[in-house]
Amino acid sequence: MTLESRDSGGPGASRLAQAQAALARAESRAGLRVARALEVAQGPGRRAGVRGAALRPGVTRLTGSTTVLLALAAQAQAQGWCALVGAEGLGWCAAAEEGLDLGRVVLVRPGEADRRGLLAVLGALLEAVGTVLVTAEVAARLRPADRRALLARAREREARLLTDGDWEGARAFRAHRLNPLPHAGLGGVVVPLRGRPAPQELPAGRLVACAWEVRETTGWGQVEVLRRDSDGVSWETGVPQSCATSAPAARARTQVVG
Amino acid sequence: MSRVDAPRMLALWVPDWPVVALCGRWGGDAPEAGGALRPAVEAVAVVGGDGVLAASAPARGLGVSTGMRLRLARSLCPGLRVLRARPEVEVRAFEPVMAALGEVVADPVVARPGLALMAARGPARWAGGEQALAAKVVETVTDLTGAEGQAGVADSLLGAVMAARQGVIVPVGQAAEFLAPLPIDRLLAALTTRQARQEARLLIDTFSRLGLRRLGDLAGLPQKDVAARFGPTGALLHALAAAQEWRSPVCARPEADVQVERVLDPPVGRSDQAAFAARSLAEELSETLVRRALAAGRLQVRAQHEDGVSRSRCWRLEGVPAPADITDRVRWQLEGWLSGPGDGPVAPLTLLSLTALELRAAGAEQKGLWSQPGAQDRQRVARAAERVESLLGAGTVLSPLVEQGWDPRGRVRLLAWGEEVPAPQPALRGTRSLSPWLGAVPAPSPSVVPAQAVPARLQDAAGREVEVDAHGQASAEPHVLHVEGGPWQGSGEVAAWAGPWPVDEGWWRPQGAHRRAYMQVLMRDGQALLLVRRGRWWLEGVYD
Repeated sequence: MTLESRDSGGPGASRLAQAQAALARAESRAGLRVARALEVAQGPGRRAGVRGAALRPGVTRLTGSTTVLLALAAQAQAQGWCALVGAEGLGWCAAAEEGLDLGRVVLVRPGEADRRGLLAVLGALLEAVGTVLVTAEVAARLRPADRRALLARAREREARLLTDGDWEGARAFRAHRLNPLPHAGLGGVVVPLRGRPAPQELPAGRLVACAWEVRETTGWGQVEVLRRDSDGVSWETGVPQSCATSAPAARARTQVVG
Repeated sequence: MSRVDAPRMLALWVPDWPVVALCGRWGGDAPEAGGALRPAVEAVAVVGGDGVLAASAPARGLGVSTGMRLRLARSLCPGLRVLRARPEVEVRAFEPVMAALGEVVADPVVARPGLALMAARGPARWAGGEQALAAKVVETVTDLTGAEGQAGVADSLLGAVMAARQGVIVPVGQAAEFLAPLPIDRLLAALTTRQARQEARLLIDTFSRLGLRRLGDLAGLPQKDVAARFGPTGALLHALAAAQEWRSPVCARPEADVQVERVLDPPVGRSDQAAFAARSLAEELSETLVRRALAAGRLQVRAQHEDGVSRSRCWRLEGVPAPADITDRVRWQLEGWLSGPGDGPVAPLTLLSLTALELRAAGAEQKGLWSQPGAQDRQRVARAAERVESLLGAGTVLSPLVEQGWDPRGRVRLLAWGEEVPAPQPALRGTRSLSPWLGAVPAPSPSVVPAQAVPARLQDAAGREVEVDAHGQASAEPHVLHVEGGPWQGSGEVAAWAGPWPVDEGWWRPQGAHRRAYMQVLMRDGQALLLVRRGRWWLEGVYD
């Protein structure tokens, strides 16, 4: 029996299919799966939100919030390593609270390195580290062609590059801070129509939480809301009721009063 | 004694070993030592939990004895210098003595720090007699280590120990006669563990009450009866007293650290010159390790500066380090020290020493059958980090570490890549290990902490500066915040605030306490900021 005849159908083909199916069943029973299939099963698929984008190989650009950027880095780090390039003035306590495992973090301070040096450094990091976060100041030192080359390299190496600077070809998201008053436990503040409301002490005695909404800069993608409190971060997909009512209304009210 | 095959045993006893060890170069860094002590002429005592453990000869001359309370010892000898007992130092310090003994005899055994035992029959033939062997042993140890000991030879364990104390050689077969007139509590000298001594002490009390006051009295009793009445401990003591016990107790010898050091004259102030010195030291250390077939777990770099300050740091190593590995780590360390992070440049180096710690036989480390989870990733990342460091220069690759502390800036330490992560601070009593300090700035922490705090002004409704008093209370409600620099420059109205959290630390330092107070401010545009009052207001963090 030749290969052609087996492939063309008939009893041979059905036996092969049966055997393959039996093997696949045995494999899945034993917990064994093809690595690529596993990626597809666990990976984000083609989710539209920023979390899905940050988990996919390539470059994700997020502006407007360091907290959201750190939360994405923590999510992308998962069980692997994360390299941060630049990152002057980063709050490491916040990074740790948001779930970034600092034991698996490499911090690179490029100092005054030129673009050639930076390109080599980022190339070396993309080879070895699954998630690389490049801050805007460092990204600006590269030429657009360099950034495109690094994007291609990241895709090829299946690495994730996050940045808050300009990056050609990146999926770009923007975070807006939601007015923290309702989140901070100041809900139901009476805003006088005339004059300024007096500043008041936060009722909880501390800042309880902050929240940001993240949406893609182009088009009408999914809106995701990140809430950051003392327990870490939590994501909500879509526009939750509380934020929907509070955020635009609060902003608008402030404008009216101001 | 008709036994012909009874081994001859040589004991080397260094009197007052704890004092000698702690006064020597091993104990020199003891804070209470206050410089080198000379136990031969000064009254020195080593004191543990139950009083004096050992005393130098001048102190004993004034009446200080083992087991005495410290208060009594001080009253007898007002100028007594007191050292804290450090058993681990005593053990380690004995290793050079054992190494020196190894030059003369094969395989000496540590009975306890300060007492070494070895077989004497063979070496005595080689040295030309037991007398000559004993003299040679004492001489070699004194020459090589400076420790002065006494040697004695006898047929049995207790006999050899007692002979060493008296510095005599007991002829073959006369150990029992030699021991017979000695007081019965001398049995304790041949027991090494605390538990054995404890049990023996009880038994010796009983023997004394029964009228057995000399070793000969005990040895004269039938062995079977003693064993039947007093059990195995009694039988052991009987065998010791009757000079029939020669099994020497064995105590593990620690592996001596491999240390190389170099005095830098003239002092070196530039890191490249220091790295040059480090290179030759590293080669020396690596060669010593290879010659002794050892692998090191840690590398300690210690530097002495011209102004008397001494710094040391540990680096973790894997396997047998190549000279280049060692040189790199020393160079990174020296660059860090000489550039003086934070407190300005430091004084030039006068001494550099490298110590390989946690030694083990090279090639004997067992790699796991399956590699540790993430080990491959770690190696790959380590290679990338080394590559990046070679591209950008030393000190550009760091690993962040968050510790317990009061505020988001003070809790963070950036360690050089590869530097050993220090053990976490112990948890406060009654708290969970990860709970934040009471009075610390609460979570969530600001996601932006500017590298340099930005000056700011916080004013109340009347335009006066808001102050924080000694009790940590704000003088007025904040209304307006002016930030004077950075991307947050500008003025804004305060919508809400929280705090202040006063922090008062370092009050024990001579330059005075470091007092500050933290305050969270929520601006009307929704921006949340963390301010610190330290002489004036500073912008310390942004909840961005």
